[in-house]
Amino acid sequence: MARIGVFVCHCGTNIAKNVDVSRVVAAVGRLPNVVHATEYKYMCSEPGQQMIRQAMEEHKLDRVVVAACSPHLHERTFRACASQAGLNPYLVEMCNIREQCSWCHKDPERATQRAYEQIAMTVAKAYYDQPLTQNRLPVERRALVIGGGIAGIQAALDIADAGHPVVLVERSPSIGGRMAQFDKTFPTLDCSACILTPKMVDVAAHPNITLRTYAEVEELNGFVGNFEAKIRLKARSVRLEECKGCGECWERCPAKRQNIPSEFDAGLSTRAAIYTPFPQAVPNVPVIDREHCLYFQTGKCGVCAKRCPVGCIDFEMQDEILTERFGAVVVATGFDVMDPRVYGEYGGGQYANVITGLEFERLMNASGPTGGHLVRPSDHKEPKTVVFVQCVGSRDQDKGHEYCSRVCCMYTAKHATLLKDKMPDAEAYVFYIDIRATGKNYEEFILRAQRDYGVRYLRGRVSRIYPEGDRLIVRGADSLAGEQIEVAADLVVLAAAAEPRAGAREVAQMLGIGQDKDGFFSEAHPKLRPVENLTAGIFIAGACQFIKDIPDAVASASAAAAKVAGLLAKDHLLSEAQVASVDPVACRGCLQCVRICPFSAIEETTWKDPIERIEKRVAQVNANVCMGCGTCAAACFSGAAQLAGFRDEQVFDEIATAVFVDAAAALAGESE
Amino acid sequence: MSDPDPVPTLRAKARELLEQGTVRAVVGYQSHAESGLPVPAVITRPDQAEALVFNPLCAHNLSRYVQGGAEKPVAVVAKACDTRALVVMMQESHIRREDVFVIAMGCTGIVDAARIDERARAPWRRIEAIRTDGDAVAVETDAGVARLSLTEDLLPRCVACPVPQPVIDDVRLGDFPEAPPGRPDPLAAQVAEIEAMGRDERRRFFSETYNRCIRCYACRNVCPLCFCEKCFADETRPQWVPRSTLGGGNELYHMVRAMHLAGRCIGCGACERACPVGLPLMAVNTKMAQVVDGMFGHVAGVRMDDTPPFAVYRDADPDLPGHGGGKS
Amino acid sequence: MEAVQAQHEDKRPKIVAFLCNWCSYAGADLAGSGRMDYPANLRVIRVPCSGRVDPLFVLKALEQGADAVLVSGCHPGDCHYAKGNYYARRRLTALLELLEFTGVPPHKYRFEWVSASEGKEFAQVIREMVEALNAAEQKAAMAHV
Repeated sequence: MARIGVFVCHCGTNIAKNVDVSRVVAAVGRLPNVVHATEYKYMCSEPGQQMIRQAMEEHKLDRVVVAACSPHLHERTFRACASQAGLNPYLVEMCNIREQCSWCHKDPERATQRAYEQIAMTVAKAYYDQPLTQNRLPVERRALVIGGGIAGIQAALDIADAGHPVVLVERSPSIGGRMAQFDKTFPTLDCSACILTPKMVDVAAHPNITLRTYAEVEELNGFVGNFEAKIRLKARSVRLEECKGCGECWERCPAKRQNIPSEFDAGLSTRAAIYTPFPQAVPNVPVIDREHCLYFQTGKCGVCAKRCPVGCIDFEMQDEILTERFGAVVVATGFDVMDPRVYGEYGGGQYANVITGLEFERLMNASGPTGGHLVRPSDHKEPKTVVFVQCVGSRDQDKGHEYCSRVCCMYTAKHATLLKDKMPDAEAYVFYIDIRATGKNYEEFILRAQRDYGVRYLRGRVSRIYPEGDRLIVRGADSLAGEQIEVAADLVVLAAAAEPRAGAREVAQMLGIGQDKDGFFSEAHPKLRPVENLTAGIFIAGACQFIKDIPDAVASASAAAAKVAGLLAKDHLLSEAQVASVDPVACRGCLQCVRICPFSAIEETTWKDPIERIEKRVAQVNANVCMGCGTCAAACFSGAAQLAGFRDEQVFDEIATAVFVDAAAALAGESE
Repeated sequence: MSDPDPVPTLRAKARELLEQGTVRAVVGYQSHAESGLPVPAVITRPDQAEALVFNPLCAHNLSRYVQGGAEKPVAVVAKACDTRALVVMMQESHIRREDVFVIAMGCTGIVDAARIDERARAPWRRIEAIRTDGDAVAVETDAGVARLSLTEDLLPRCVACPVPQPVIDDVRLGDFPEAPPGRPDPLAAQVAEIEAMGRDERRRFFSETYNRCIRCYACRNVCPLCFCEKCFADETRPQWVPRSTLGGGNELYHMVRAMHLAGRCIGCGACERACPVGLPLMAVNTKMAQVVDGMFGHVAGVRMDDTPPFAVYRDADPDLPGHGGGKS
Repeated sequence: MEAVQAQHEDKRPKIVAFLCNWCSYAGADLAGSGRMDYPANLRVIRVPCSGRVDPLFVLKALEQGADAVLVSGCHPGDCHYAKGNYYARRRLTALLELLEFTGVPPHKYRFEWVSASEGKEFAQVIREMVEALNAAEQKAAMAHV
């Protein structure tokens, strides 16, 4: 038996004009479990709220139903009002008789009937309401940043500057990411390393940042404010604290003769088995690539250990697993370049002189394999004619990706400009479909390439590239001139599409975050929550969300950092109150709810039945993570999963009341 | 290697599994003590293996009897179609692969035991032997031999057997047809027939069907995939479905059951065979299997790594009518 | 007596509507704020997400005697919980097929995406549903003559 009080608002005349409030109140007063029903002109006003509080005391109400405007306006108001009078706020229900009754039904009799029935339904629902509480969650005031490219670097610096400790985890031996591989940056043509390196140094020097390179996050458990990560520190075989980065070891490494391709130079140069990826590496401490190291392969060598002046080479070093707690996580794992071999007709990976844009960056870079002297890979001759092909794998649903890679138009213009700048006599052709130059000063940059540098833009697709002598014939269409053209080129640069990292799926599964149709990590809302993930406390920055140029990557990283700083500034978090739960007695362990929960709030657990004394597998909701959508409850065959405030019995009684209550009779004075 | 009579091998295998302690029990078929018809049997001792039988009257889907959660697996005698139920049970985490040792039995179709009455010359009381004889099954009864055709007298779901090869197995005994027999599917024909009726006629058909239901729940109890410990049909707090056979409770029960089985039903037909009032229960099940296959490209239990169809979605799923190219 | 009878008849048909809190309920609010008049046959049950709507709710409402059932949520891609309506879509499209197959008259159910900005569309959905119900009732009455 409940003691429900019903408070019907006139909203001035907004409700009262079309709804005969007094008749409704009289009829509602006769409903089962209703011990008090009354009306007032403005229920949300202070006197109105006072009236509710008084009635609660006088009639010992344990449920409150307010029939007024939309709950979207005043649900908070009335919950707070009841709370002040000592009632759990979730024992308050609102019934909307304004927007969804008096305002939309002109016939007063029918509006009055509907108002009565909707209130009866709300009373039926309120009967089953239970007191609910929000959990106060502690916040571990440390952030984990995954990925040490420009986005990860920026996010780490911003969070650290806000005063919170950050652990930055990078898979490779050095931070820097893609940006470290680039030569110049568009549209300003300033040197990529010159603007990036100081930031890398800042990261290393920042008192709030702990840098973990050559490391990977292997497991993430917990939830917002309370994550626990397992981080594998791969055995570097070089003691990080002792190494001075003198280079004696990699200079003398005999494995240099093995032609180990340099990952950093996109395979265009070789490296030793003990190496730093590039000269400005942070930390400037090498790692031993055990797959190629003669000591690890044959047991003989150890030249590096003999040469090392500080004796910091440690062949016995083991992988180490760190378990650390974090309040928030920023994922900034970047992008990969599509393998152009998919386009056999372009000869990528087949002809030495067909290269990708990233390879071109390295060939132009002063610290690259040729010292910045542009030569073609086949014979190290300077190219006289260079053809750039755009949209290789972008905007091509059949063989590549449906999306536009966003950055290729700009970097191709940059490449052509740099080429003409270095070798004014060289010819530069660009095959394009459309030019997309939407950033600040981007359009001007394209025009400058065309006008000032004489880069020849040809609108059309390339159909085939094939060798003739020591040159390559690029055959394509000039769709503006409406003719087929052939260009004999010394070097062809393919603007291969950018795509999600090869391991993106595993990372998404490990972190419990979603991926979009292309494999990029999903944001919580495409417009309004672009750096958040649906899993609270996990944020996404840079190109792992979608391809970004440097300014966009930095902007998203700073945005993610601001979100993290805001989160970590809190003393505690409040969880949702109207959350799901699973009754282990009824749960059949199908784990359908675990699979569909949008927030990864449900997990599998073992439960021992205290009566039957059997152990069984059941689903369990983490009330601190659940957002209360109820998708689990609808998927549950046995009714084990229920959503507080929207339990099956509440919905069933709302249905039954809607169907069986006869407003005309009730309003005429007949008892239900 | 052809093995036309796999029963001796089956018995030897069951004995071996129990003797070596590989499994804690073998779920198979034995002859009913009185009628001689094959019935489910759970054996736990090696000497019981001699009682096991397998013949074209073994209709039961024995996955119904498989329980996980123990240290040792259970061996189950399974026709190719039966393994689909095991696969769905695994996809829904009801059992794990290691909970079950699958003895897959080659099968060219199960005959409808009800036809014995028609094919026998006189009323029979007891089956003495069941022999496969070319494309017929000779059922030797105390009232003479009834010959059941392995094409004419098949159970409806066997006529166009869509999955003649087991989806999972630990051992295969007997001969497995390489491909479906390619005969027209009577279950699909039944759906087509109902669809060809007008809507009002369909309504009458289903109303009359469900009105006859006595709510014995045999359909649920025999279903290998109804493994909820608490069934919505039994619950009273809150009451999901009115329990009286009067009023709309019958139809609500069957409609919700159809939704619960959509994308899960493997079409074994056990519900329909168990129904004491002869309701055509497979019609909605077959229809919903077609719907889930057509809309979401999912066929229940034919691939181990499938995700249950209502636990995933695609952006390009069929939309509601009137919204972007959905079915109208 | 006759007057009571008339009043009683007047409240029919009844439509039980499950509206998701974030889109369709807000769309219904907007229809009200915009003073769009639509028939008062609606009985709204607010749910957090169309993903909360168990197909059993629809079937149960029909079994209990609702003249029609409406389920409405955010358009695909707009779900407040990102995915709830995609799961709802699979369940509801399958349920549509079951209802059609078992011959349940189409005027008895409708599943629609209505966004928070589609007040006009919401009102129109209700008008259409009531019209269809009235037409069906007239047709049935004619058949009895």
